[in-house]
Amino acid sequence: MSSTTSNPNVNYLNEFKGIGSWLTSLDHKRIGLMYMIAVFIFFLVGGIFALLLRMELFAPGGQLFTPDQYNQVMTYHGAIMVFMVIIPGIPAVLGNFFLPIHIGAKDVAFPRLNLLSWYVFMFGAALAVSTMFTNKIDTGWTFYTPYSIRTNTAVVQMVVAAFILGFSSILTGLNFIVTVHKLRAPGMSMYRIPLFVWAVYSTAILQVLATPVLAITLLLLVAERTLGVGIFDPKLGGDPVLFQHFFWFYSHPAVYIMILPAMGIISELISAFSRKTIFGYTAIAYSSLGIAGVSFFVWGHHMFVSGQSEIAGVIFSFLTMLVGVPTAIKMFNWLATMYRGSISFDSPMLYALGFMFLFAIGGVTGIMLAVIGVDVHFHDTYFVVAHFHYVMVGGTLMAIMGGMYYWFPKMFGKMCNEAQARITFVLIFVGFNVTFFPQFILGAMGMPRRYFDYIEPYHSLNRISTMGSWLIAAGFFLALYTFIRALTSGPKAPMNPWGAKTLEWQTSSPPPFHNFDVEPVVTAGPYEYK
Amino acid sequence: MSTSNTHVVAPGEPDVAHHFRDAHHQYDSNKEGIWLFMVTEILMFGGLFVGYAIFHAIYPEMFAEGARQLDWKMGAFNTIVLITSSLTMALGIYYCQIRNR
Amino acid sequence: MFMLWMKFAGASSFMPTSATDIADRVDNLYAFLLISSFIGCVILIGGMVYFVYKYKRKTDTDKTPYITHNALLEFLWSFIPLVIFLAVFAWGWLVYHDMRQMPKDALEVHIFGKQWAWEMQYKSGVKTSNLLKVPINKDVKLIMTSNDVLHSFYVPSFRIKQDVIPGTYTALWFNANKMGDFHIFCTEYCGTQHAGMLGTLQVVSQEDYDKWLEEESLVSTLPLAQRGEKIFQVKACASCHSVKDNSIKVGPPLFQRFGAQEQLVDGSSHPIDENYVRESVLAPNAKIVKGFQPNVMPSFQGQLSEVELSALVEYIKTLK
Repeated sequence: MSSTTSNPNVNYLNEFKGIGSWLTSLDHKRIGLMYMIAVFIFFLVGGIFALLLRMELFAPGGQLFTPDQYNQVMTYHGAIMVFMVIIPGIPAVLGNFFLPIHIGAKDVAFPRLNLLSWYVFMFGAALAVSTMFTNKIDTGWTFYTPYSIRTNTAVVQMVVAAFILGFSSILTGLNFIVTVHKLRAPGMSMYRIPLFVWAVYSTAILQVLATPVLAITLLLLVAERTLGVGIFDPKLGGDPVLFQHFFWFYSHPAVYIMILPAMGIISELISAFSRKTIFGYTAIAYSSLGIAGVSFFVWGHHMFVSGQSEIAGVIFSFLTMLVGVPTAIKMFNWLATMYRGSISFDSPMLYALGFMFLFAIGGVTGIMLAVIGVDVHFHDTYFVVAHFHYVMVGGTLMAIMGGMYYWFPKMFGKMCNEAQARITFVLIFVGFNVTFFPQFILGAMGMPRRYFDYIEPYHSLNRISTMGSWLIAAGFFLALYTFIRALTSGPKAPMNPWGAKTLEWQTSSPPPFHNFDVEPVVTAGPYEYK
Repeated sequence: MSTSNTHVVAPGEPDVAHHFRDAHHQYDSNKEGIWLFMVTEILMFGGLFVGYAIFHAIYPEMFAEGARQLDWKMGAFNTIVLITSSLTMALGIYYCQIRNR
Repeated sequence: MFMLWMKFAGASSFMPTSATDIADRVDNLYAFLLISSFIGCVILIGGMVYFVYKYKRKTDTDKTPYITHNALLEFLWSFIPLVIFLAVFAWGWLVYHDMRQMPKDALEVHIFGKQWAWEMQYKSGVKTSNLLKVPINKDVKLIMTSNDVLHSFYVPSFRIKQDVIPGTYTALWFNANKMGDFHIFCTEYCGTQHAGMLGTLQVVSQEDYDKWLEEESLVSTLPLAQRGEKIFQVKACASCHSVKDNSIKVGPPLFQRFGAQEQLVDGSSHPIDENYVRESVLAPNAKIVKGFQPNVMPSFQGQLSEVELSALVEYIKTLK
């Protein structure tokens, strides 16, 4: 039993050896890394599907695929990226690793449950991927009825997989809530936890409250397909629009499950690389909770043209406007944090600045889509596709990359090559805008989404968009190279390479198995740059 | 094994995992966890029961028709099994608790 | 000044040709959104770029001031966005309200969405497929439903869109103020040929419209094969079966096939005769041609009269 050692060469990575010690590990840091590997592989798969989609849309008419194949690739891209990359991306990887350390705990509240949720996740993911080798699926990631009831493809397997993935998400959320409530170090009041923890905590509440609704919706869909219960199919007396209500009641909060933790990372990065205390700590913390709360009442903005009543549409439009306010508050608070700071251009900060740029565009186009009279034109066109990629990729993925470069020294004890990290940023940032900005214009011109083929006027913009996707791909492959190089031959990381103030930087890099050799006693807030 | 690399057994507190301060702390956390789990279960099955109630209200005669197809003996047997299993479970926990005191 | 901006934003907004008054109003609102978003982004991104430049780290020991909050600032940047958001919300509501307010005494056309074509049924009995012809400057109301899965009826130039749902009616209205051909798209994912579910909305003068409607009504007196051709168009058979060459769309091509032997999936072959065509229309899954999937083509059982079936057979005979 060497766990309480203070030998600086022993850490969570090398204290126990062998693949078995990983697969049975209850350590939150190791489980976080296991999630990271899985999420990374799924990101690669989903990304390849994205490149294939863009290749197909390079020119009108069939390029690579038949329409059916295109629809399958489109479905897998969406389902993998949503359920297996963006949703677990921050909470299960970076959250698992840093949430306990941020609050000065030795582990999450239920380590066994944590490991179980990884296995549940892997099982669900394997089931989802296995459909690629059987009947495939072509419903789009939204599984809209009655198409999903009538298509011949592997809807049941995929839906059960999404159900299982959702269960894993619930368990992770539950674990984090209890951890934040019960395991904070002495002196770590709720107003001294880092904003990343506030964000992951708000996310966890969403995961626990919203995911069961998805679960039951998907079960009803399975019941309808296998037993012929007429809930959603009008042929059996069901209501196909009811499915959309159920689905978006989960999936809209899920959008915030994807973006809230990203905002948490940005709060950390902006403060750390401006060497300045965060502006409006409570405002940012409460805006996370506010977004989480309001997000349960805006699902109908996905359904402005679904045939819901005028008054319902108007109410959802109004409530959606309210989500804009806490989001704007966060943006302005980050800006104010930079005011009179000491701003460095280390690669994580570049990603944070990139996030603010892209998220500003994603945010204002979100407001445009919330204006109900305008949304009727934009609904289900490429404008929507561009908007949510600006938020999910330009927002969440940028934050994940920023967080990876920021915490990589802590997680692995090695520094990344800074020049490569910056080139990666330029490639991804430029490529992203080249890919997705033309899609706003395509949407304004009226090009519908999920189209295998398009009319000639949309040709040139689609070609530009496809070329941009190659730049993004180049960026991510360079990032992969940087990470592998850093792991194998990167210089050793000091304890606190960025000069940040949160607790994870006050333990060794990588941290020891118990996170801290001595339980920390907290006497000040997380951003005391004085 | 997993237990060896995660459980630091503090002297005098045999069943407390390493990241809790004491048994009371652990019990508190476990309690909150199970309540949260109950919330998710209620949310999940609540939807089903509400759906059942609504459809029952809209199509009462259809439900009555459906009920006529069911066998009351099987139903009664099923109910008895369910109640008995709940009872034995609750009794088991109760005796665990008083024996511990 | 403001109007100039609006004009500029309108001109560079890339919206398709506007052909209704409602579309103009949507464009005005969108132009306003573009301008205010642009200003918002300039403040945020410009401020960010300025701060990054101004407060660049000079030495590694820079001291920064300890500023935790500022109630007035925080109130302002919550309140001002809220006011703007509520203003555009109200403006959007007004536009939407008029989109949803169905006109009385409109020309009503029934629209049926099906995988993967639009069927238009005029009250006079005229049926078209993927072509909606309407007179200019007249209120037109579309009463829509679907035969199978969800579709969505979208006319970009009119800025209107409405999901088409099986088992219920939804409605749309418009009053076109420009003549010409406009695109109809399906914008709710509906399967294989979703991207091919295109139609044309033709706005013509009242006289042309009346003339066209009368001509279409005379179809029942046409020769049998020509009548079959019409039915073939109306039922959108051509979106899956090619008739001009042997290219494969979704289903087997029909060009020069009558009288030939068809290879089936079970290995046998069957001559394409009158009864084979009839069975393929009414029970498409009975015989599946080699290389194709079952359950793709819907059955037309009950949708065609005996005369119409014969007309189809005669039409297929003429494909040479």
